[in-house]
Amino acid sequence: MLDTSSLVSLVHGDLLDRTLAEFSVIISNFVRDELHQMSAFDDADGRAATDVLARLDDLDLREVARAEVDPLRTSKVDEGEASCVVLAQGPDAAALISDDVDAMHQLQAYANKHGFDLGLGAVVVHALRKRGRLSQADALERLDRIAARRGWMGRPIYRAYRRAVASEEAG
Amino acid sequence: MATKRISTRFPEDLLEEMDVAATIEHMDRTELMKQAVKAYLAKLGEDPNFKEKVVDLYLRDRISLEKLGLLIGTEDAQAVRASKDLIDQGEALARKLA
Repeated sequence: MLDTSSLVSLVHGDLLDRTLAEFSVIISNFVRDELHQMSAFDDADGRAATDVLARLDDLDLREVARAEVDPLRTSKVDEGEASCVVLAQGPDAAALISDDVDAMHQLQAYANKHGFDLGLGAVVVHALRKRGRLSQADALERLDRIAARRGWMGRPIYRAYRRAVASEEAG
Repeated sequence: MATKRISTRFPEDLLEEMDVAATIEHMDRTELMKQAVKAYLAKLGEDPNFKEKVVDLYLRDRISLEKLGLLIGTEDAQAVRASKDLIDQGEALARKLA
């Protein structure tokens, strides 16, 4: 289950095709709508959203009712993420993957309360590396590339994830 | 709030400027310096580059969560702390997804 922010990160890392080839990626109707809204902007994120929408047929799109989403919304968790929280509780969602750092504290609370796994978009890069679909150097370079597109909070987080991957491989 | 005495050296002309400002603002040197440092830190706290470096220090275990909160705000600090947890748990989740 990927939210809007993590899908955009994967496009920035030029990893959308590889991710869709390797994993069954679930998204919600709310995430699809967020991508549509984002695609209206003529910037890097807007173009990334357009790229994701072009692959909509390869995503497992699930409908979530607004009545389920609204109780989970907070000042930090938007309806896209809230819909992912709903779907993450289903039996076939391996994890909720999000790069929305602003929402992470609340998403972590939901993950603990409802018992689902939560990860950063970087974990998809990491999993591709573990599957042997990326070399170590390539994985680290993709993490660098995504980090460069992130804001002041996301950039050091991606760099820290990169250090963790690099040290794991070194060890 | 607890205070701590520090000793520092200032250029004489800056001290003179400070004394004039302190007289005008009806405060002593210590109060003026406190206000100046607070204003400087508040300005830094608005600077994304500064905040990024602070987050980096926290993620490298060089500063505490409490200090991170003082410098970037409690809500953002909690968001970074949660993300740090996810970095720490990343290897296990990557293995599960792989």
